[in-house]
Amino acid sequence: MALIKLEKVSKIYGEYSHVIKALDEVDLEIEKGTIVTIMGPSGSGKSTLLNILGAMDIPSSGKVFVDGIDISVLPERSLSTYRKETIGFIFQNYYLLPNVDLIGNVLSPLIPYRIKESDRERAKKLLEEVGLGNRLRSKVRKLSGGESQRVAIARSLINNPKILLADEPTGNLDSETGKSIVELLFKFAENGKTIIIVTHDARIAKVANDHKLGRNIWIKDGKLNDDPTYDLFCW
Amino acid sequence: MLIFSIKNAFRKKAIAILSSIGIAVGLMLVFVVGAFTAGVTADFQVNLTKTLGLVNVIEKSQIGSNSKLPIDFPDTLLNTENVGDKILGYSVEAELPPYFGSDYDGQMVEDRADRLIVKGLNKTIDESWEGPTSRIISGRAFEPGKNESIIDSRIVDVAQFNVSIGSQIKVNLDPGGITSVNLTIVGIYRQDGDGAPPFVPINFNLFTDITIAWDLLEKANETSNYYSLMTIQFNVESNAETEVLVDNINELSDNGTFSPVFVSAYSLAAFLEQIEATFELFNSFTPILSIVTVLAGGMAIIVTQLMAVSSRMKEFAILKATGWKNRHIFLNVIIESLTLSLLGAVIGLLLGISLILFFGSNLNPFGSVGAIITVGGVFEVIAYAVGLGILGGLYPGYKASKVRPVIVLKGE
Repeated sequence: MALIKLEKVSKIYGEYSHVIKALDEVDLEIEKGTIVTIMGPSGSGKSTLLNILGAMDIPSSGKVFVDGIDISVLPERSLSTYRKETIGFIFQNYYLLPNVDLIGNVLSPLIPYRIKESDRERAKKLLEEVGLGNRLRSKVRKLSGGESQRVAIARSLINNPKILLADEPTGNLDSETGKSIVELLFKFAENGKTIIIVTHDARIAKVANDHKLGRNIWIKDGKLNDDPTYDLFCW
Repeated sequence: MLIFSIKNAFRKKAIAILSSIGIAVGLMLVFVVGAFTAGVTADFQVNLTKTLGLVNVIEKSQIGSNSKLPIDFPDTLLNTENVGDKILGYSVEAELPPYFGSDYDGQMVEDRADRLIVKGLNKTIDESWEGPTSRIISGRAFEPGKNESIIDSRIVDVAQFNVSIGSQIKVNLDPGGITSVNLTIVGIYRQDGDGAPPFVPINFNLFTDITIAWDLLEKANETSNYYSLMTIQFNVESNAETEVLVDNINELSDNGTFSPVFVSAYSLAAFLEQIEATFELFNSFTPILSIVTVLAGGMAIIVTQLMAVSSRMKEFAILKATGWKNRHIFLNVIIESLTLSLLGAVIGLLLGISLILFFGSNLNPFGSVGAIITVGGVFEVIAYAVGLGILGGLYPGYKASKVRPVIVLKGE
């Protein structure tokens, strides 16, 4: 059974004559442990798709099954739990807490809950895995863009989620740094995580396509297409 | 969560501290007013106890030297039914008209309106009463029939003229001071202050023998052989009992029992109670002051927190995206505003205690004022701070908790 399954998911913004169909009856299945890149032009609906998968937005119609549960009908309280336990978010702008050190940022999803010593150990281990093990107490403002994104990746993994959602994770990075971030994400995919990356960067799509676990999806006008030539003709 | 929220409260240090100081000033006001209210109330209670059963009797509608009670009035009262049997003791004094001591007006302390009042005392009665003649701290009491006097101990520090034992005090026998008599100071009696601030003028009493006082009045062609005031100590256990006796005397007087003289009796405790009632009326405004303080402080926190929350919507959106629930965000904002208000309470308490210590010390130019710092007062301030923190954090917390991550992050 697919880890993620979308059935005729639509998302419509606006009303009356100003209706925008961000997603148009999308059907999609994603297996556990795969690396999926979603590419498409601006306004094509790729971020909307990511937000719906991450339960930050709800579809106008259709069903979103994650691990067999339809998250499109869950109440807000359950969605919080879903986000905490199932999803790890990585954003283009990192969104780290400026007044908290690196380990504090990694632990931030757990702040409202009782942070155990094992959580601290895990946070340290994650920071080591992203190459920042020697800077646990550093301030965020002293980090470069690549380092900030590494901290964001570590933060997204602190709850040991099944799915990592990355929205333009290399958008603010130079190509070398971006490459290292992608390699880092792929490393976690090899450890069993399902990774969905929204990107404009064709190189990421190519790397994903070449990877044994990789898969590319193109989206335009709210419709998906798995055909790699689709974008060449349609963009 | 707690440490995280406390740290967050000070992310914009200047705004946070200014907000706390604003709250501190309000809470300090509540604390100081409360402490002084408690102090004054306690003083009233002490004075009420001290003055239990004390009643002054003067000639009706007359005060000072204008009050002229016949010298047999004490005996009349002692023999009056339902009054005399309750009298434990009494004292009498005859106050001389103001011009007798007018040479010393304004000579106590510069720019003050202190006066020297000459009074006659019946030494025998006064000693049994533990009046001035039995409170001599230097020298001795005057002797009956001699031109001698004893003087208020407080005048020693402030007089601009010689008040040492053996010196002469000039007593005028006419308003212009053309004719005068000298009284020799033979003793200084202890006189405690009445608690009034120093800017209130003081009447310093100079006591001489009652027969000398009457003699001086005769020489000045004034009416003599009278008492201005009779102070009675009744054997009572409550102010209510005293009031009954006061009413008795006034009724008897109005009925002509003491005719041709008519008197007014008043209880000192009742007088204090009247002042206390006025004070309590003033105190009734304290809750209004507190409410205004709480509202003003609440507004300060709401504004501070709204600013903080508005500038951190993305942060709350991210926290929600990582699994924080609405109530976690709300609680975080409430803890932040509680932190600011409790810091305000600490600053307010420290400022308040400093002010109280200053006003209670001799450094206060208006004289030391009694205040009581109570545990209840401290808890009241903390309770106000907690109320402020919660009140001030409610709306910003609600606003922050309702943030929709997708809307905020889409606006990036």
